[in-house]
Amino acid sequence: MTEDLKSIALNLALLQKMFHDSPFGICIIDNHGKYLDTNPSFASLLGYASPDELINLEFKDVTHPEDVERDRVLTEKIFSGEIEEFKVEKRFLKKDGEVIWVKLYATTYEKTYGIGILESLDARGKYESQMAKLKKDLDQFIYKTSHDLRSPVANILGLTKLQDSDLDKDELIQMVYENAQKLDHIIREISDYSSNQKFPLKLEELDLDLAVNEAFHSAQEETRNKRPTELVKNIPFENVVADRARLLIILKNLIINAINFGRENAKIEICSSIKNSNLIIKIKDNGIGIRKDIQTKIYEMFYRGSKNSEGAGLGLFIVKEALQEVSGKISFSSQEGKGTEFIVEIPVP
Amino acid sequence: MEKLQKVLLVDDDDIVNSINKVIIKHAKFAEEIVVQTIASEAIGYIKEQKEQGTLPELIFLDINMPEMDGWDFVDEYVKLGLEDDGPRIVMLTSSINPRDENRASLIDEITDFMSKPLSPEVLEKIYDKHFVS
Repeated sequence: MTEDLKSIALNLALLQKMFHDSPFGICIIDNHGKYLDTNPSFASLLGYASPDELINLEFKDVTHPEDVERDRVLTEKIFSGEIEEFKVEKRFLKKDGEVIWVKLYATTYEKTYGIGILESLDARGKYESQMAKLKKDLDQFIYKTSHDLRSPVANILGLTKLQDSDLDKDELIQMVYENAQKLDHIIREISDYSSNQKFPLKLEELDLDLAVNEAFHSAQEETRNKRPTELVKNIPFENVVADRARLLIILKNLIINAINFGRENAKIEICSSIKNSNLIIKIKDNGIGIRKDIQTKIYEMFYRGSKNSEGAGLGLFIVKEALQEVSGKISFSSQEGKGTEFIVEIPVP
Repeated sequence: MEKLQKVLLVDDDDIVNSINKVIIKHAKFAEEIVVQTIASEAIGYIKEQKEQGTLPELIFLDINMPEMDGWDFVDEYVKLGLEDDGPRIVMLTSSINPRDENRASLIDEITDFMSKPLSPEVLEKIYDKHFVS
């Protein structure tokens, strides 16, 4: 140490500056775990405006309940001298209740004052809350899909018991067939959903007219050609650059809806244009329309608008997710009893 | 002689309803089987039958229906304020999730919780459990 630093006043000033300006949170506690002083970083880590707000609080007041007991035991040990120091990763509860992860290093001065230095593990906290959300979503997804998959299976099980009833055999087989189709439809929906999540974006040049034909064909297949539907196209150009798989998923699901929610003499008009480097596709039907009171809900996961909806209620949810992946947009206008027009916008390079 | 006068099926799935109708008829379980595929309309139907004194003795109720689901149906049903000797409600669902069964068990108006498919054995069980005093 140089002569200058031996000056007590200077030494104190330097230490104070270190304490005050440190990016690490620093706290001093008494042997009851009460905060005697903290630096501004410590207070702001915990979401308090200033260190003064923490004085008189004990560490257990701001520690996640599941970590309190462990930290209490460790703190006791450093005050009794059984151990000199400890390092833990722990959770604090911020002033607004949010949980944060920190790495804490703790020791004492003469077994009288506890000194804690902590570093935020913010990234970890974000990761954990993301995981918690994913887990919840997955839970919900499994709950709903297992229910939706089970219902056609239960139907088929029920139907097999009707062999001896007066029900016509052909009718029985037709019902088994319809349920197997329904099962197939739900599984396809899940597969669409998962491929949208999984596959990276892949832009390629494609013939839009052919893509519309292909989507229309798969939509008819998935709805078992149950409603004869006229397709009118107005696609005044041939090639566009787009993510083929997602474009097909979007078109197919919108066409399936137009078929499922169609009426007699069903007609789907599909036209496209390019405006301000956006590919705009309009899909218009003359179906039953979407009631005003459910219009805000139709994109929700598992939402089924009415009993016409055949799958698990994933169609428009998948469309929206797929559009998000390609930075696109969707909107619609609908009139009950007249029909619905969906407008899809996708940026093109 | 059928066991019950009238049974109401509330389910949006037409195939479920036709299967259940055949099973109920075949088991000679009920004289009359009424099907409602939209839960809100089923509530209207019950109101109407209450006034005419021709309430069903048993309601089979699906959970997962668009718009008003089985849980919403029960909420509305409670508001009708039927007497204790009103219809029994049996939830008949594809769900095999304990969460749903638990939730049903906490609601007084729901007499029982059964997994689809309906069968003659299930009908017998329901009759013995809830209609033979």
